Amino acid sequence: MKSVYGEQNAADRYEGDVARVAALSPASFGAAVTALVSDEAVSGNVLIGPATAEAALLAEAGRRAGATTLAGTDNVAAQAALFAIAEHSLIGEDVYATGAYLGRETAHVASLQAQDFVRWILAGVIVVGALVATFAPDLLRQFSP
Amino acid sequence: MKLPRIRFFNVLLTSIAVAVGLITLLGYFLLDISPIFVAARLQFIAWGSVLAAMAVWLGVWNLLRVHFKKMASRTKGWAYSVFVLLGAVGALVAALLPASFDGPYQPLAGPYHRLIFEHVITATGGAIAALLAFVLALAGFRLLRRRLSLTSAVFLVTAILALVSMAPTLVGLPEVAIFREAWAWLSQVPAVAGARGLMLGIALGIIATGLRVLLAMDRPYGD
Repeated sequence: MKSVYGEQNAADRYEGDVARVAALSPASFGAAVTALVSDEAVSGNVLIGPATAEAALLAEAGRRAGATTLAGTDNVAAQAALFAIAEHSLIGEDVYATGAYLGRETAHVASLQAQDFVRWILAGVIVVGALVATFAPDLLRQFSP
Repeated sequence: MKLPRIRFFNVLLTSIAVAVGLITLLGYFLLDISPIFVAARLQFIAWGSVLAAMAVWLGVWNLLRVHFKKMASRTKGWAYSVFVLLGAVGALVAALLPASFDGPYQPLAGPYHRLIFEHVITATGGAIAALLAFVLALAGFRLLRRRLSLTSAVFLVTAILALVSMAPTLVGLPEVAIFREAWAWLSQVPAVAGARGLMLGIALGIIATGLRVLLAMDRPYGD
């Protein structure tokens, strides 16, 4: 955090407590940050991480406070909740593509293209597997241990 | 051309992180070939657990410090900080109190911290979960007003269908089986397919991110 403040020419505004642990469990985190968003006049709300559905409470608190909310998680149930509430929600692997969104560095863009390539291969394998399992199940049994 | 300045400390951190990551990964792949990598992997994971436990302590210290400062400076919402501090001290005392003062001392053996979990944490967790259901239902309706699209409409119709099919049938009214059947199909076919698609994308994203960290292209541990 200190280096980020420095990069933005705001090193004098850095305080040791800007990064903080709000709580240690999902429910208490939801309760703590809900109050924090309104008490400390938060204008931007970025919720990224292994959140549970309690993240919906935080996004709702951000909406009430008029803060722009960007939310993304690897939890599928929480993604549905955040899709409904957050102004900007990251779906699926979007969470892991934030580097490419922000910096457009070659490594990030290349890894996104590689992911897309592998995804098409896997989709093809799934479709072929489904067809084989439906029309020629004996063929599949020959390969299973 | 001016070359970027390379700091020795950053190179050292990157080298350690890449080496530890590679050795841990090899420990999974060379299970039967090289017991050294397996032993190293287990050791690194044990060290990681100890460091994570230390990080939790630092986090608790940070939490108490922030709330103490908030209370001392009487900033907005300071009254909640009093509850946080009292709760932290109370939970610590309850955990340290023994079940009885006879015999050897055993922390976490007393009934008090269990009482806190059962009567405070479980109850408030349940209240938050109930609030969550209400917030989500409200958000579904608000979504249609804010972002009028086919996706939003599908989202809302599915949510309503789930609520209707899972609600208990009122006494005296006939049960409408079509809602339950439609919900069963939706939750077992398109929902599972969509969730698997998302999980597949997430797994690929995790692999790509892990590889970038292992190859030192991403350095979340330093500048």
